Amino acid sequence: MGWRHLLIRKPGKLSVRYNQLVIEQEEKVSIALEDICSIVIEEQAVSVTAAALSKMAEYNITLFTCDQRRLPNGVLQPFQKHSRQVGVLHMQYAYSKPFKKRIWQRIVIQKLINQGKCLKFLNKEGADELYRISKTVDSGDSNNREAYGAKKYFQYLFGSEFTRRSDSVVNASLNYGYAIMRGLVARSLVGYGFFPCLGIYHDNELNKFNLADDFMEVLRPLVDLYVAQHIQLDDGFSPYVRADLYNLANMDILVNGEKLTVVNAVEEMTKSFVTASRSQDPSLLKLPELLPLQLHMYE
Amino acid sequence: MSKFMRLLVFFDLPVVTNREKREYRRFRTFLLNEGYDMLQFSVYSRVCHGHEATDKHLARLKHNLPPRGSIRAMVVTEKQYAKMQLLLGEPTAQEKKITSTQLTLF
Repeated sequence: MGWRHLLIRKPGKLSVRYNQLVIEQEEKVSIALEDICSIVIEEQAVSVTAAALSKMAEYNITLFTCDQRRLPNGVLQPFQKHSRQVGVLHMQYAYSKPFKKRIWQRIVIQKLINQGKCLKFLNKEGADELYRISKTVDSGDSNNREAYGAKKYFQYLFGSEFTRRSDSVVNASLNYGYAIMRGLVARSLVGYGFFPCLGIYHDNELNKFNLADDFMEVLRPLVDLYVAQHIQLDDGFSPYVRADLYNLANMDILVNGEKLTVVNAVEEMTKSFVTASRSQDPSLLKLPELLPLQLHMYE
Repeated sequence: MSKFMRLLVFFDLPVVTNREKREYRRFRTFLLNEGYDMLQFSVYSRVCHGHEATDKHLARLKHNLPPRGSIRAMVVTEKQYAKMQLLLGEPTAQEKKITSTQLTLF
């Protein structure tokens, strides 16, 4: 499984030779495709060969493209690579309503807990209130505690003036981080044969990533935590910020009592979702729990 | 969680007959396809993520050996590898850029 993440910030050319990705800039460097997990190309003057794109799909490497503002706007995904694609599709269609509702309930509870933890790590008020809200989530979140919690949470986090709709650097950073998380979740789901458009709760005809959006909810507070800690409103959206946001993929997060990188945690979450789906038992789903920001250390 | 290791491969292969040359080329291409970097002539290295990965790559190596010659493999930790001294010459661009850091900026 890949563990390298590449951020391409300068003009150049990406091609493939000997199953290695060749990056030609002032210098020529090559990296084994097998080791790569994801690539963000934020420079517009980068050319990628068709063979490189095809190999990226083959090795389940997530390739993000970025718009003029350097925010991720596209993801390359392998096309139906899983050996039991139809089997997984049937499984996804056959999810019972109660199963979907219970899974969504667990996701919302964990998201609220993570939001509470985020506030706690930042020594802000409101953590207890979010923990309390997390205890009142119904199956399927029919009383929409998620939206209620989110409204409270953002006010505690960034103050009552804050709105997600404005064009600030805080929002740009949040969007960047969320886009990366969403891509990584989608990558893992696709790797296990899931169709990311068929969601558990999210069900938007225009959205190709409904399922990824379901599962990325628990990871949002990680991005929020970084942004609240490091981004000031008068900052610019600098390359360092983008690199740091991308590097959140290598931060520690807790799954089932074990510290894992975010990428590995997502993999665990997807694996446990497969197990939960097979046995129709939502309690088998393992969801990541937020830890204070710390880069994962391999001893 | 696992740690990063380096798998080093040293080889001496006979290249007199056409057949031996072919075997040599096949082995070298195999190494490159597997993601090894040429450290210097006949010395190749690969970053491996944990013991399982080292075992996997060692097994693949053993499966693809040429019929004759002399090949050695050595596994060292990334820390030991980083301590390697460069006595003469310059490190390559590849070496400077491709360490075991997980996020690489280009």
